[in-house]
Amino acid sequence: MTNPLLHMAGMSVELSAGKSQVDIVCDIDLELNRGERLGIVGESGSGKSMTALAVMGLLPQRMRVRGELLFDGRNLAGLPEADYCGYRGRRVAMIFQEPMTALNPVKSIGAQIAEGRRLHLGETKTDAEKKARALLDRVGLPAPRFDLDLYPHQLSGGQRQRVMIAMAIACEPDLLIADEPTTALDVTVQAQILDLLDELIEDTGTALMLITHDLGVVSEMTDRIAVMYAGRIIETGRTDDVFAHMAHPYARGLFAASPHAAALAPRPTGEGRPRLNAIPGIVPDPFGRPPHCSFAERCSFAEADCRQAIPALDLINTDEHVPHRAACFHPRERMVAP
Amino acid sequence: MTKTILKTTDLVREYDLPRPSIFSKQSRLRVLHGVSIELAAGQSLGIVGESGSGKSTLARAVMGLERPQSGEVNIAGKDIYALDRSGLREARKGFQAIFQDPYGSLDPRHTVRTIISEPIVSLERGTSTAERERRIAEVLEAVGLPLASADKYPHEFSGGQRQRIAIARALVTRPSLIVADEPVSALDVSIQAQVLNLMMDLQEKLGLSYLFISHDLGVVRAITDRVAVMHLGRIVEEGPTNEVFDNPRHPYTQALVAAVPKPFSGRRKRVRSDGPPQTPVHTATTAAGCAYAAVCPRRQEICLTRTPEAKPVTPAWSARCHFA
Repeated sequence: MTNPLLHMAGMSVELSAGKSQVDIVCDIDLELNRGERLGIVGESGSGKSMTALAVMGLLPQRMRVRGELLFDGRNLAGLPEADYCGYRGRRVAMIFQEPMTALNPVKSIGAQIAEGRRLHLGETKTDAEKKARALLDRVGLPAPRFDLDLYPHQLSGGQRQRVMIAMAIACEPDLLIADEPTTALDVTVQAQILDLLDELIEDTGTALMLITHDLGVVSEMTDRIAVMYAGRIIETGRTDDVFAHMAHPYARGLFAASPHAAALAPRPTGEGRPRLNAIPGIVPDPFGRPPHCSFAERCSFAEADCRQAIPALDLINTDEHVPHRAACFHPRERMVAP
Repeated sequence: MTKTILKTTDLVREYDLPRPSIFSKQSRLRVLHGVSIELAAGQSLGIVGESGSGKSTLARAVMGLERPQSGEVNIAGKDIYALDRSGLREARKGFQAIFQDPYGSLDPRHTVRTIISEPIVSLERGTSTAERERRIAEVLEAVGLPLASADKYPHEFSGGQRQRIAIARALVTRPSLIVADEPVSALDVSIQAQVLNLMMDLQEKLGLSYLFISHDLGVVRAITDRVAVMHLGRIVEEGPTNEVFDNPRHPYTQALVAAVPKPFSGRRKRVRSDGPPQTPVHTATTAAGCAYAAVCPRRQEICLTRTPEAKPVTPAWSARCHFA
């Protein structure tokens, strides 16, 4: 086995605000092999999108990557912009959440899909457009209804997301990052887009990093997951394994709070509706993260040692050679009832 | 039988489409094709459907914000579109709204006190300052915010707290009906659960009725007693929430329920479809036939020629399909 495609070790994303500095994302250890599908789950403010933007080299100004961020053996942290341009779109491509705002409204969809190939592969306009046509067919937007000279405003949300996917796979990247690709879409359209992504990944063998807050989506689309909270990975392992024995109280809480869990539990026919298992409190803001376990304040199992140190990602068990780790001093043991 | 708080009968709402040229005939898009719903006091009715199904237009029609071309909206026994201005103002005390975006629906330049007291100021003129303060304190306590919040501005609150402020504003006139249009869609899962629990607690404590609009089937399942599924301006299935979601009868409801990704289901089972995915679109007029027929797996000859009527599955459950 060769090197992993993506390797993060002790990676942090640092934000400097005036004189103070704060880590938006801390100490991420993550590996992704070719053809593998990784899901990153968390709520807003957990740092999941920043992790993706760090890989893409698209972090906002004032933010900086520290630690190791290796892509195919080369360290991307601090890479000059000119070198990054050769990666972005060519080796790593990203699908953004909002297809309404991520597409350029004044360029035709054909030109936007062909742009990557002309830029990275030096193809002529005719060749690139021929390829763009083939890509549009591939993502389910056939001619003549979906011509290359259509503009984004002439398409629906689902169709725009298909165009985004065509753009992302245009240069056959090794890694596809999808940041909440279906959050803005209706469920039936979401199902179509997930089917399409699934099919493309199977056919092209690209690796997928899927960022989402939807536990259903992550369960159906990925092999491995990493659950993030307040800038850290708090649980990671094989998707099935993590779902079956969620060890971290936050992972459990997140699942229990989702209406999915409520829908799974059969409702008694008697009086009254059961309440959802809400997690009390809110996510601490990055400037006020405590020096101990950042979930301790909201955790119903917290003990004295939880307020003294930050727990490391400890091994829980190993399932099919993939370690299942959780950052908790008192991991839960009982199975989660499916 | 319990009292009916909200009843709409055959609501039709059409919008004028832009004319291609000034000589062409005016064409119209029908967004609500005769929608009838009924909500009993103290109950909650969910409206689910995809974008463009007309669920928000229905909410606006119920709120008296969008006059339907025909049909009636009856709230607590009064046809709100037959009332005069002062009558409508009086009636508005009885129904209030909560909107989707807790960032956009609160004026950033007003304090929470001003925001919450606005319904009292505009609908209950002549309320004394002391009485107003008492009511503000009462609703802040009901939604679980400290009294000191009244002097703060919306930007000082998190998304979940802002939605609590929006709920407080809706409660301040002591309404009996709350129309909630995607109230938790903008919130994170753990916060969403907090707000939903609060809404359920308040409903039981104050005897509220909710018209709860959402595209999230899980959320609707958690909070509503009955659900109505909308598709292109028609209610295609209506019944008790659990039964409809466990055993949907209309092919559109079945497609919706099947499309929701579920944890523990393992890897996706893909349906490889031939050709482009099809989406039915709104029609300008009321053409004959079922609007879902274009994509329906159970389509027969009759679906293209006759518009299906609502067929009862049980006395409390109906589906608008020839084969339900």
